[in-house]
Amino acid sequence: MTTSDRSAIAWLHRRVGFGLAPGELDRLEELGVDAVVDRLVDPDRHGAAPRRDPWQGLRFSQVPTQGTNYRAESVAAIGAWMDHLSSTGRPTESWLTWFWHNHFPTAVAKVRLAGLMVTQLRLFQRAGSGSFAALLRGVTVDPAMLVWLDGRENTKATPNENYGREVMELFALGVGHYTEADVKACAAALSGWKLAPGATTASRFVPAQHDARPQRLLGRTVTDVDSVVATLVAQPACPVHIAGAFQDAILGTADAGLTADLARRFRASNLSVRTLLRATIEAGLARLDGPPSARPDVVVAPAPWLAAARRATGGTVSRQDGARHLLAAGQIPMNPPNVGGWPGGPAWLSTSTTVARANLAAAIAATTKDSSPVLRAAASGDDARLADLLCRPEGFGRATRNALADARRAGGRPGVAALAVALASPDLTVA
Amino acid sequence: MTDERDLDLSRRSFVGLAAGGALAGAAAWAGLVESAVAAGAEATAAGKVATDRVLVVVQEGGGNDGLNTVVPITGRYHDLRPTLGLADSSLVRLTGETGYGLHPSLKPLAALWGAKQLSIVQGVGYPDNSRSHFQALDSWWSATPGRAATTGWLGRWLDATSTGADPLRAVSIGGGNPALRAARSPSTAIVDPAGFSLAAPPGVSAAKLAAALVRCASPVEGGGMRAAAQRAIATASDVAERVAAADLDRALPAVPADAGSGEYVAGDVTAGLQVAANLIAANLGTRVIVVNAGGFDTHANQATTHRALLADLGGGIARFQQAVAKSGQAARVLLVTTSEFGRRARENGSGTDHGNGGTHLVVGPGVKGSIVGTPNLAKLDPQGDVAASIDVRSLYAIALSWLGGPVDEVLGRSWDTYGVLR
Repeated sequence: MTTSDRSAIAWLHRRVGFGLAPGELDRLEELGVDAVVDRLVDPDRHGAAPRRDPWQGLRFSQVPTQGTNYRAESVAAIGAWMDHLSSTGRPTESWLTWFWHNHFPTAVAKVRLAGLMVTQLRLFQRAGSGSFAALLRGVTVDPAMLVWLDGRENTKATPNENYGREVMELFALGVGHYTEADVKACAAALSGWKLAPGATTASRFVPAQHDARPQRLLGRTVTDVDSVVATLVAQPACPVHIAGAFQDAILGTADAGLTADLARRFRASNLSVRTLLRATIEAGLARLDGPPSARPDVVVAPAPWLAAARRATGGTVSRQDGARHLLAAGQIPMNPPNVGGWPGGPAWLSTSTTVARANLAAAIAATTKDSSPVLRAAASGDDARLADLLCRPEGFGRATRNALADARRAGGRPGVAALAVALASPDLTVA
Repeated sequence: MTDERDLDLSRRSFVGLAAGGALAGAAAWAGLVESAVAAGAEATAAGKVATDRVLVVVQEGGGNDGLNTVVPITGRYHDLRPTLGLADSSLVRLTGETGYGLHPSLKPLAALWGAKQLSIVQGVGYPDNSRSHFQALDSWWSATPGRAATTGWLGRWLDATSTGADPLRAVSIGGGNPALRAARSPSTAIVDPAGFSLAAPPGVSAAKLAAALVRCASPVEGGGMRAAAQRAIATASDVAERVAAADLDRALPAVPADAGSGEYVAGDVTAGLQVAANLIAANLGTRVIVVNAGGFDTHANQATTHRALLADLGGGIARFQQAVAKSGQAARVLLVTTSEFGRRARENGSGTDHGNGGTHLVVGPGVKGSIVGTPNLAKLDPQGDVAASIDVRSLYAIALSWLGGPVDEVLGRSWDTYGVLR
């Protein structure tokens, strides 16, 4: 059996987007899969909506002063970002911003300035599909990153290994592809970067605090950020590491043969993220007709799940309730637990996450309008239509259909209980 | 990391309906939950005191600086720590001990040392430590260094000792913890005890909604993550019901004012141990509790950060011990700290980079009250770190011995426990 265009397009918007609003799937189906892939991967050249800044109109403190309420600014910035994810006209660009946020995880709890987080996320939104080398260069001297991994403390007199280690282990190469001597060399060559005084959305290089002695890094001589980045991206391990991360995030697999193939194409494109993205997506589409073992289910993380639920239903959740439930779910955007990012996969099936997901589902369903096609389908018992509107054109499983029938007898505004169950169901928990 | 077996929750009788589907799903589930809650209430009402031992593990995520936690009183320490070094005169003295003193923030622990309820194990680690947080964490949670594993050390203990599959036998607070990954045994993760119950939209029957949701679990369709998601719904619904009755939000008793040093900062440890103490008092059959705390990766600005972290650790442990004593449970409980590594012996200016051997606390009436292991500052390892002279599995063997074993089955063989337990 060949997967229908409709199913393939829904799959794309589950794996490299944040779901679809009512009517979108119909319109995209008319375009066909190939055109949809083009538009997702290269929005500017294929007629997508122009880029929007999720934080437009918000003002952020520039320097941490006494009395600065970074929490209030953070809640506003996170809320604006979640609003954007649930309505973006450039789904894959937004998805890449989210992906890089989890690849270069930086937490506002330590950065303490929401404005710096926004500056970093704008970098991901702007440069996230271009050259990986440029992206790595940008993030290495990004102000939030200089705070998060202590780059601003890394000076000639007092070298700090934090960024030098993590850039190789987590961001560019993977553990086992460098030595302890490389960590020290990398740190020394990157020393001397500070936040610009007064206007902390910028960073600056302070030569007096830079260790200018040539360092031996991975067999090459390096002296500064440019030579460090050039050395890292020239390692054969670099495209393999990034290709593995894309495969894991989009396909949920760790197929070494596929990683090698993706890495080869990524390298041949001079590390164009857009090329890697397209290759990964195409590999996934090709596998939709293959055996189930080649296309495993991927557990949707709580924040992307919430964005998709909002997009489909038009329902919402108050900032306060949203923050509380996302905290219980284990995923506050802009605040990953550590430099490794969110654990993902089965971690999103913990008791705490499952309870929080159900509570968010109830809140979203309760605020979905009677006029919403999704609520109408939930109320009417048309499960096939409800599933299609929730980006699952293949329909729900039998267990969920039984649950929906029970929920319709749970009282309340027609369709609300059934919609809450549908959103929290296993069918929507995985993509 | 994506092995589904850690979510194989199907052993418990009522969760079993997820596999069968022949039972009248929701009704059967509700009945079983009711009986589980009733059984717990009965035990409490009859004043039945649980005697099973409990292990509490406090994970200091990020790599705690052992040398500034239990501080060696020696000139070499000050050579390595010209700015971060704690003056000998500022240390909390340990009665009868001249070689070490505690960080000033750990003053609440002095009374536990005096009561012989605090033991200290130093130089804990694995011989082949890459200084990667994540590789070190993998080795710590699996207890199989250098070898990929799908189960954690506590998960294997759950598998080896469980008769049913009660998710509340093991509870991870502040998020999940891979040490609890098991082949068969489910566990519970709690982040926000106040929010750990299922809410319903206005006008919707909460009971009917919960019952409908549980029907999503049965019959199990497909495999992999989707099936795991079905089982997760059954487990979460069950646990939410039972935990809602346990009042996990009760505050810990304050320690006497003289026990703290300066400002007390409650953080992850205190919050987690509060839930732990209430869980133990609620008598829900919980044997293993993991408290996840973070922020110990003090590459920079360590003096201020570490002061707060240790105030939370010391104050939290002291308050926890008071709470379990108050509920008559102290004799059942052993608390052990873990962390992926210690930190570099020589400071980097304002902080410390990743190191090797770490310092850990073992607390409770079950310990002898001793210091085991010596961080040899005259003979640091090639990276300039305290050597890992006591294997992590020895620390685990202490913990597992407290639980009654089987140590060999969980850790592959027996390990020296250095006479830490009575």
